[in-house]
Amino acid sequence: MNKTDQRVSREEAWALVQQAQAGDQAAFTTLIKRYEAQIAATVIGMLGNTPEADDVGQETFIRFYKALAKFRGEADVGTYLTRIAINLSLNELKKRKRKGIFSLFSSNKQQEDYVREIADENKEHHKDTQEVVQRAVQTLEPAFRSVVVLRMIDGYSTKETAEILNIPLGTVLSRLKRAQEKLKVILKDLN
Amino acid sequence: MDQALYNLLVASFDRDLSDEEQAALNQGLEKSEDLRREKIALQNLRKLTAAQSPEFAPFFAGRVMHKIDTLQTQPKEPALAKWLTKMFPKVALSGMAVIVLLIINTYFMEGSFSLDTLLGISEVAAEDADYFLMENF
Repeated sequence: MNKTDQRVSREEAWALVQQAQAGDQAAFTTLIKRYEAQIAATVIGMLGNTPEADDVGQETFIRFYKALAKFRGEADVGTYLTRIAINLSLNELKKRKRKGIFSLFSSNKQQEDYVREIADENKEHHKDTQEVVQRAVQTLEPAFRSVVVLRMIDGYSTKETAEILNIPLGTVLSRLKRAQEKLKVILKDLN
Repeated sequence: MDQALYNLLVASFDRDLSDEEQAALNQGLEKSEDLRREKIALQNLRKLTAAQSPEFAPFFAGRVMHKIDTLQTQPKEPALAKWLTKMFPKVALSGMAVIVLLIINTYFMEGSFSLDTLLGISEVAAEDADYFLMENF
């Protein structure tokens, strides 16, 4: 069961979608509030806590709003939104790569070292563990990061993760294995 | 540590193991201290990642609805203008590619990159100009 299932039932979501399709803006606002946390976990997991993450989060719901008339309720709303969020996040990462914008770091190695440093600090000063984990996830390549975010942060099953990313199940499992090995090393001081 | 057992341990977090696989893993966990330690490390990692609950800046829903309202009240760009804006980079790039190919072709044919070669004009001496002009008219 993923985090969405714990918060919004399929029936409740579909009822809200139908109201929004009929032009009820308040119903769409409620939908945003219901799925905001889940989309935040996905987008911030992919892009870090950055202004672009907020923009991508907003764009996710705007795309959904534009596609509302065509939405027939065959897909789960949360999964549908997550698919949009992941695709937009991957596009944003490609844009970053093209522009050469890579936060304060010039290489992944430097980022890993930085995460290890703050993990040590965290251990000593009990700082925000969430931030350390978030930064560690940011050191992963986008293909590995998306799998970790969907499976280990959002709580989707491996099958759902494969469907959202449109990749074979075996690829999800092998990427998870490699990503976990890297995260385990980076975050060993927190374990 | 047995690599096959380690692989089974990692897989056990993400898929159902067959009865034989589960039995082999259980046996391995009983025997191997390292494998037990790995299991705890993986469990901790899963707990850490599952506990992630980042949030957007406050009033997120309000900001999204404001953007939607703005989009709805904005005059729509005419379809032709939108199409032209979208097509321009593609047309420009194709044009550039054709020009480059023509220049390369000219170089191979004429063996030169001079302006005269590119423009298709061979050098004409001043004293021959009258002759060429007369010939063409």
